[in-house]
Amino acid sequence: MLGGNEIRKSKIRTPKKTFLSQVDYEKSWEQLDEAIKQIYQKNASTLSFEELYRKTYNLVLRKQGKFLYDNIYNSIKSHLENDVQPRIIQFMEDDQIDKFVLLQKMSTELNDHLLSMRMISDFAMYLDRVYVKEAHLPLIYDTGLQLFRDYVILPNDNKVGKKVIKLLLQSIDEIRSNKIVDKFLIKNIIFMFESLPDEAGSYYDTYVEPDFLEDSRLYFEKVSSELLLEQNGSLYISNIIRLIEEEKNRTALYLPLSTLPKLVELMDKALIATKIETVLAFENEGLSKWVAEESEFELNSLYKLIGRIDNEYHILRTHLKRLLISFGEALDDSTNKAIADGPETPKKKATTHFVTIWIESILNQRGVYERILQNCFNRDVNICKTIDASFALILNANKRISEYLSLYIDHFIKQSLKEKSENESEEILNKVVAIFSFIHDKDVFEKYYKNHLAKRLLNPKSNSYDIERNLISKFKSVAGETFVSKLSSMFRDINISKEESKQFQEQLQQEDVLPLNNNKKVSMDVNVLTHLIWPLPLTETNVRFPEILFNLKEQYAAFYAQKHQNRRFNWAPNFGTVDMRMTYGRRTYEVNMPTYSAIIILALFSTDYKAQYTYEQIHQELQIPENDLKRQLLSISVAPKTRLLVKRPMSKEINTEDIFQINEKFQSPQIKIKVLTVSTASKLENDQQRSSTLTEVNKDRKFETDAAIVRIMKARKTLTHNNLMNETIKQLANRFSPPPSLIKQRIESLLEKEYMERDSEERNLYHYLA
Amino acid sequence: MTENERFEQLCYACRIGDVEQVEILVSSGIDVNRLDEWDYSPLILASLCGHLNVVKLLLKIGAICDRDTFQGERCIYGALNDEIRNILLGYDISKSVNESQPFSAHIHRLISARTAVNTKDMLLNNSIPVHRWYIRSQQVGISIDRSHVTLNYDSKIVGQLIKFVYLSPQFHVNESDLKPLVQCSEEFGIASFQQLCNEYLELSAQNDIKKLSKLRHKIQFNQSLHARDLLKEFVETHVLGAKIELGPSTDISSVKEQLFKLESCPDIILRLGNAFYPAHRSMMVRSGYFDLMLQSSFAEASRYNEFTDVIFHRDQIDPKEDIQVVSLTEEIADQRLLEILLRYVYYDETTVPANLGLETLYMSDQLLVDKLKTMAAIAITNDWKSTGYSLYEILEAAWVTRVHRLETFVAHEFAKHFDHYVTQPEFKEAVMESANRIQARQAVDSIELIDDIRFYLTRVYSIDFEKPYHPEVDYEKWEIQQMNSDNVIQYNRCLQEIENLLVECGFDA
Repeated sequence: MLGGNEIRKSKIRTPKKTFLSQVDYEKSWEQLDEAIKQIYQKNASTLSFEELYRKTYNLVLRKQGKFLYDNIYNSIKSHLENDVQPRIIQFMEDDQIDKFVLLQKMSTELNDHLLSMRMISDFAMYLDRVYVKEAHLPLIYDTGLQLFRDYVILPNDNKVGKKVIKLLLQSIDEIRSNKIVDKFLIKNIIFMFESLPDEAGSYYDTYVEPDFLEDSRLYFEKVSSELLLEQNGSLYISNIIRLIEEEKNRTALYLPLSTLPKLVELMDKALIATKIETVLAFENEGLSKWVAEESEFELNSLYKLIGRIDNEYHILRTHLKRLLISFGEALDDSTNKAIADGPETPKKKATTHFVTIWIESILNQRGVYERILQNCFNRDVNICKTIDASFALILNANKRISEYLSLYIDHFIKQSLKEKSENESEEILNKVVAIFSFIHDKDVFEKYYKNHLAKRLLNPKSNSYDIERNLISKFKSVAGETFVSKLSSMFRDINISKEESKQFQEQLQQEDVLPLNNNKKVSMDVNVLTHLIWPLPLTETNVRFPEILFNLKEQYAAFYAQKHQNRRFNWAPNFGTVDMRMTYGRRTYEVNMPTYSAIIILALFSTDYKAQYTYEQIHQELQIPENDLKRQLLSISVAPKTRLLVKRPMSKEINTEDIFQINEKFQSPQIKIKVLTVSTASKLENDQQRSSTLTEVNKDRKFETDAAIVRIMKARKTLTHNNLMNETIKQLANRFSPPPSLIKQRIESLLEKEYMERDSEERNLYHYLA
Repeated sequence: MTENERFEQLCYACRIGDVEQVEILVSSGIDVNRLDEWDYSPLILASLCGHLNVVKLLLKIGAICDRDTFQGERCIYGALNDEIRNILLGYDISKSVNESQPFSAHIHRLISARTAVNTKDMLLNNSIPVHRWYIRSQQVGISIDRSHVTLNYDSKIVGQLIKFVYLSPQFHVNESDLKPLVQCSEEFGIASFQQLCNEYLELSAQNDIKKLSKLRHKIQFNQSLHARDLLKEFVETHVLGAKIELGPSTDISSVKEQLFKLESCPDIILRLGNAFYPAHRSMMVRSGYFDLMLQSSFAEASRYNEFTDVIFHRDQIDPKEDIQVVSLTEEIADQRLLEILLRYVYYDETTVPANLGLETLYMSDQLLVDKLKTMAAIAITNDWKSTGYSLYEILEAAWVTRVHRLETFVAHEFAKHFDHYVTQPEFKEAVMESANRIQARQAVDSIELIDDIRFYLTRVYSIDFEKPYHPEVDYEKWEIQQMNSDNVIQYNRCLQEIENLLVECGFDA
């Protein structure tokens, strides 16, 4: 080396002082080694920092860094190997010693070592700063930690380490079973392992954490399996939530932050992911019971727990769907049961009653799920979707859902409405509309709804216009403008008719040409219905009207022709009613009856009340269609409360030879009498009626499909077959789901009619023909 | 509510612009120049979020926006709008803050931060720990005879005064406190603080924030100069001037007792040969060596470490038994060097006489005083000729103490007087040594010293390897010209000599 003495030779003047005097390295080290031993003996306060530092400094300055470093290294190593390790092993092998004493001992040993290392690295600071840095070695302090790991913990296949880890895990298990354990000690031991370095991270990361996690996994598995044996979901859920919370709080006291997420993942897997399916399926205290009882705590907890493992809630959704579908499958049976259990109902209302209860069950169920979604599931989008889809599935599985729903609405408006407050009925309407939105074949619904609506609108006593309009605007928001256009037109017809009837009445007043009947004034309301819109059999008839009605009819026709030109005008006496006063004996009754009945009575008996006619005669005379005629005659001669006529022979059948005359003995407790036509109340169609309805629907569907295809082609001009199919399905989705075969068939027909043509080369391509 | 919670609330109030809340919180005594965990100060937050009124308030109560610091620059740069930016710029105090005074920062830290070594030995009003020696050095009129002193003022007032004396850069007071502060500072003879409070009283009536802030910084700056002067005086009289030479008839324990009982309340005794100096641990820790020593559990610090109180009790210390004299061997220092050290740690005196440069360098390297080390190196390079050190001595010191500046300085000198040195046997040894150093570091190719000399030779002979970039130049001709110029010939000759030397030393390159 380049010594100070040699350099000084070149100086011109005498050296003023020695920069680097000679030092006896070995002797210096002996003194330092002795000091290190004193430090281990905890006698540091007798040592002079100044002296130790100076010795280190002098050695380093004289390039003895490596010499010093190696010596310190060996000194620490031999201390650990010869003093510390045997001491610990001796302890470890003593079975008499309590594990906490042992852990405490271990913790103390390391703490002492760390303290000693701190002091050694204090006085060896100059070594750290200069030599260690240049030689890229670990600092003295870190070296001390490595040595502790290599010569105390790891020797003999990690003997000491394994033992301590085992005791540590035992202690943690004891903490878990609520035994009193010095958590500070546990924390110290873990901290000790954390501070020992290892290739990738710390000794803790390599050896302790995996064992801890495995041990924890076993613990969670054990706890959760035991809980499952109870077959009680509520118990499971509440216990699991508490366990997770407690485990988190516990481990926060002694576990490194980096382990916590792993532990949480482990808990989620062991306690939730692998178990929750079983819990959901429990019959007692499982999902079905919680939903049925709307158990908020359980459902909300479930939502939170599953959210930890899957933010799309697949398991929960599958089970909810299953639950709803089985509800749907059992719905017919449960409805029948409810009817059987409930008060008896008149037989003829049975079908309507069935539908009402069926739909109400759906509405109730819907309400249950709405509340659960709101209160327990935080309106989770995915769960909402699943529930909606499941409802759609149940509903559309019922082929007659459109009819059911329309009938329910009809029943609701006619019967139940009066009993409900505005808010209640609004709520029901909303639910009804929600169900409507799930229905795929909206065109079928429209068909039924139109029928029912027509009947309601034509009933002069119906006071439900507001609610009808409200409903229609709700339908509109779900299904669009086109869906409700016909329904709206029906309303318009009724409104215009009312207005015009009023004008007609006023006009008659002014002209003083009021037709009189027995010197009494007569008035008339006419509903003018647009033929194509109203779903009624508005066929032309040759019915012979009695004079009084004939006159009114002619006058109205004149009035109408004067207001509207170029309109054909047919009378539909098969609708409407007539109010008249009839006097039997001394009593006069106010009788409301269908137009046909009035025609029969006015035409045949008003001039001669003793007259007698056979059925055949009546039919010949009045030209009323036979079906209608029979029904009317039944109403006024057979129906018990309204026997205005007498039929001979008295039977429930009408035969051509039957004779009818005024029933002079007619009596009724009420003054006001209403003649009901047989079967005016809405009820379910029979199979024949339904098949005819469906045929009509199918006919309409053809037109609608044609229209859709033409609309699309007109806009796009050229389109491939597949695209056209898709577009068509999309356009019609709001009305019904067209089967591909139908679209294909319509395309063929349109090709034939030359609305469009195939591309000459690509057979799959269509062109629109203007 | 803890201080931290209050500070968090203050930050939040600054974000949302809640002036009242800021006012309330600050009046409860929060340091408005603290930083949150993302290094935002309340002032940065308020100006970033555009709350003009909060910004004004914060500046008024002492928030600092110094353009020359990262925080200040950030504050101005991040201000939401020009109005706020202009206000901040109006408060720009960079002109008055003197960053070259690390010692004032140290003194402030003595009371503001938790220090590893507890050096306070007196408690005012049972709540404000201070250093007797510093109180005395600053000529504060408080008796320093006892460990516990209760003054006739509210602790808040006393705290403000002490902060000022300890050169705290912060100053925010409630107006209601100003009058007692004036009185208090008058009683204890802190004229500058009295003046500051008086002016504040006057100016806050006029509500001239800008002027107030400028005034505050001027006074605080002057105070730090003043404190330095007082410290200098104190050191000369009570530290350097109070040394005791051990005579043949005196024994060490009586010297210890004698020094410990001095009015200057020393708590550490330094020994150099036969000379004993009284000194103060609070200042000695500015040397890394003393800091380590006093934090450790070795003999020098053990007695003091036994005190767990906020202060240590002088009266419980038996100087004969408890005080360990800290010896500095003459190898490290003589009295001149020790004085350089003490002047530096007490008041940042960094003038190093050139002829003590190397000695100071070695000392400060050993005692871990980096700034003094740099100053010593600068002293040597500035005036090498008068130092009397040989270049070889300097070079070795450079290597040993790892001061690169000196290495390059020596290489430059070698290059300047190449012919003079190249023949010296020591030069060859130096080259060898440099090569060995490199092998130790396992860098294979070059010898650092030689590289440096080659580099400086190009400077000395103005060699430019870059061809002039000009279309008119005939490069061949230029090159020949270059090759034949006197400088290049000289330069090449030097290079050849280096090559020869290297071969002689057994290196191929």
